[in-house]
Parts: sequence; structure tokens; C-alpha cells
Amino acid sequence: MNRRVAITGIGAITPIGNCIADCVTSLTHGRSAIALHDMNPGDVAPIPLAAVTDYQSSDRFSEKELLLLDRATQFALVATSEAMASSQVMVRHAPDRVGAIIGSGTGGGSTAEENYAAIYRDGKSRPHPMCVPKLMINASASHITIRYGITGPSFVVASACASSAHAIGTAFHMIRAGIIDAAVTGGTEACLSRGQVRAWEGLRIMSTDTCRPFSLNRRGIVLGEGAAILIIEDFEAARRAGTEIYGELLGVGMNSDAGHIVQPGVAGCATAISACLASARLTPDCIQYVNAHGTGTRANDIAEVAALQQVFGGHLDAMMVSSTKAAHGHCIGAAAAIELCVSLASLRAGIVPATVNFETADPECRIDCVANLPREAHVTNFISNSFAFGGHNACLAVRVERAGHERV
Amino acid sequence: MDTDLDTIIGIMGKFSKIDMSSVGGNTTLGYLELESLDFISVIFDLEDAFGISIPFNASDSEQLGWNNDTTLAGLGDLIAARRASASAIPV
Repeated sequence: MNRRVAITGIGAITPIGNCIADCVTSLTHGRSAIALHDMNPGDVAPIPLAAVTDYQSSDRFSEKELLLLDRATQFALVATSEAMASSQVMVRHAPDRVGAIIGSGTGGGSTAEENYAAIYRDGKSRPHPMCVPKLMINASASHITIRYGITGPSFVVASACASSAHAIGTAFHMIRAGIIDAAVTGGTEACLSRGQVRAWEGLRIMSTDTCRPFSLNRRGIVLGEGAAILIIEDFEAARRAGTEIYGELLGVGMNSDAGHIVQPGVAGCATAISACLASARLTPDCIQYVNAHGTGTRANDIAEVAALQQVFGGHLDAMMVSSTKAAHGHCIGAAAAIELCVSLASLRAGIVPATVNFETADPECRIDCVANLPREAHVTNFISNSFAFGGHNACLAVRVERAGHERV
Repeated sequence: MDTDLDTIIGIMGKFSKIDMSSVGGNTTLGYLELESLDFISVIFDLEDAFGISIPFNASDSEQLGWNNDTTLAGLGDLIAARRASASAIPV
């Protein structure tokens, strides 16, 4: 069995918008959500981060519900709500034929931090009794199945920055192979707690000003948070039901560098991209746009461009390659899902997202990075790259279905 | 005996794969062949040992003030200068 896979719903809550439409508006106007945050006022310098704003958990969930919902799980449920509203996938498929496969790098890390502080700092004898079900990394997938009555396979995938790419890729293969007929998939991350941010700082790859992917004066990553969810299903079932199809998930490439624990390997990245194209039955010249991993570190951006050059050769000159991390930050486990969803939504409206904050071209990153201003263009096929710590690589290929309504 | 140099050599020895018995003040950082992740750990240990803050960004190594040609004695001087300045603030 080798079924086609349709995307019939997308939802997101990110630093650039608390729904897909708001995200597209931000990208259309070339906005960045990166701002200085005081992680510990009076102690250390403010840190550039990209945080979800205008969000009150009490507006979305009851006090009792919040006892069990870490911020990451809340984000996943908010994004799922939006995606489900447009897809209505549970109407078309039996509950045991729907899966929930979500990516997250640290899951309930904020809850863990709060509760450990209660013990070690505050001297409490034990943390809150709901601590374990709240912080467990699988919580987001579990709560999605509970809320929507999904009884098919459900689990969380953790592979650092490639988590949600792997989650989406796994769900894709499961539908293609007939194991399930539909899936709620994507990623979530809420890692802007004090301890987690300080841990990232220790790696010395965080920028002290902003995120400038591919720019010569780039100085590293800016952490973000949020969630994005896709509803994917058997293409023919969606078409028969007359459901709006946002795009088609064409293929996925996944591999491992088996090299360095943090440095990306050009060969591994190139192989993942090539494997994705093969999975999608596309030749390199079929791709018009790449949503890059584009973290803004010297190492990643150079390695990624080198990998793209290996795969696409001369065709790379005709392609657009941008990183939306400059707008919404690096959302770690949710990154791939957020980037795929906001790219798809923008491209449906005929807009290629820009790489904002770009200043000076790097001779080692010779690409059209769509510097600073989004571009009107018709893109049929795009890929989204994720090259994670640990050498986990993933690449997703998507065909865009143009929106029939006016551009946002 | 230069205890600061001994501390520096001790920290380097935790991460360098070379034979440390011949390492002294004139040994360059490049000679120690520190791998990138180990270099970050070295900075962390130096900050801890000397109570200083060493601003370092992996995408902008020039801001460090030292490079592969810097000797361990020279590194000791840089650290001493940093301790003497107002930068001795724990991270």
C-alpha cells in the first residue's frame, strides 16, 4: 500500500501569532517576535527570546484542567483545536484509525523545573501530586487523544530540533502503509523557563542580539516556544469527502550523521534531503522553496548551504531558501511543525516568507535567502529541513494547494 | 610555583588527548587540540575555578581575546587581568 497523504487542517500558536492567520500576517509584514527578556532581573543581562504573547492559560483551560497541563501541552491542545476545526477529521474516520503522533524535545521541562525548585530550593517534602502526569514528555499526545476520542496509535517522538519532523514523517508513513487512515501530528515546545534558557546559554550558541540566519554577522540561535499541528489523512478519503485540502505531504527523508553530538554533518544533511526527494518521487528541479533549518549559528548555516549545494547543484540558484527562525525563534521540538505550517499557509497565499534580520551576505552561504522582505511567488513544491543535535536529520516535502480565498 | 598555571594545565588536561607531561606555560592552545565541545567545557571550568565570566560565542570566537597561538602562560595573564577588572561576576 502506498497511499497519498493530504493535509486537511493546520493550527499553530507561536511567537508570531496565536493562530495560523496571525502567523501569516506577521510573515507577510516581515515581522520578528524576538525581544529582550529578563530571565532573572538584576542578575544577568536580558536575553533575546521569542515568546508566545497575549496568551492566558485561564482563558483556554479551567483551573482543574491546568493542574495536569504543562505549558507545552496547553500549546499542543490550542494548536490542535484550530487544526481540528477546519479538518473535522473525526467525522470521517473511525477513532481507532486515527493516530496522535507529536514531537517535543523536552515536553514538560518547565513543570519539572518548578517542582524540583519546590524540593531543592523551598525545602518541600514532595512536589505537587500531579507533577508526573504533567511533566511526562508524552503528555501532549495523551491529552490530544483524550480530548478528541482518538484510540489509534499515539506517542511522542523526541529527537531535539527534528522531533516534530520525525513525528510528521512517522505519521505520514503510517498512513501511507495503511496502519492508520488519519493522524493529528506536529510538535510542541515550551522551554523558556529560567533553567532551560540558562542551560542553552551554557552551550555558547545563543545570540546576544537577534537571530540572523545566513548573515555574515550572525551570532547564534534565539530560543522560541509554541506548537503547530497538522491533520493529515488518506488523500482519497479527504477528496471524496470534499474536505479542503491545504497541501499534500509528498515524502520524508530521515537519517543520522553518526558523527558529532552537536555539529551537523554536510553529508548526512544532504543524504536526508536526497532521501526526502526520493520518497516524494521528485527530482531536485521540482523544488522551488526550502524552509531551511537556518538556526543562525555559523556551523549550521554553512553546513546546510553546502548540503543544499550538493543536492540541488546549479538549480539552487533558481530556488528560494529562507529561515523563519529569524521571525519566531528556534522552537526546538516544535520547530519543524511550526515552520512547515507557517510556510504552507504563507505559500498558499502566494507569499514566500523572508529571512528577516539579514544584514550582510556570507560568501559561504551563497543562496537567495529572501532577505528581509517576503516575496510574492507561486510555489508548487517545497521542502522543510531539520538538522538536530545528536545528528538527527529529517526533511519533509510538501505540495502546496493554493488557497481559493484572498491573501491574508 | 605558579598555581594559576597549574590550575589551567589541570583543566586542559581533563579534555586534551595529548600527553600533558610536557605541557607548560609555553604550550599553545592549538597544541592541545581541543575539540569544540571540550573547549566550551574548558571555558566553564575556567570560569568556575577563577570566579570570572568569559564571554564566548561559538559563532564569534574573536571576542575571546585568545586563539590557537595563545600560550597557557598568556592565557593565565588574560585571566589575571579579567579577575582584576570588574568582570569578576559569577555567571
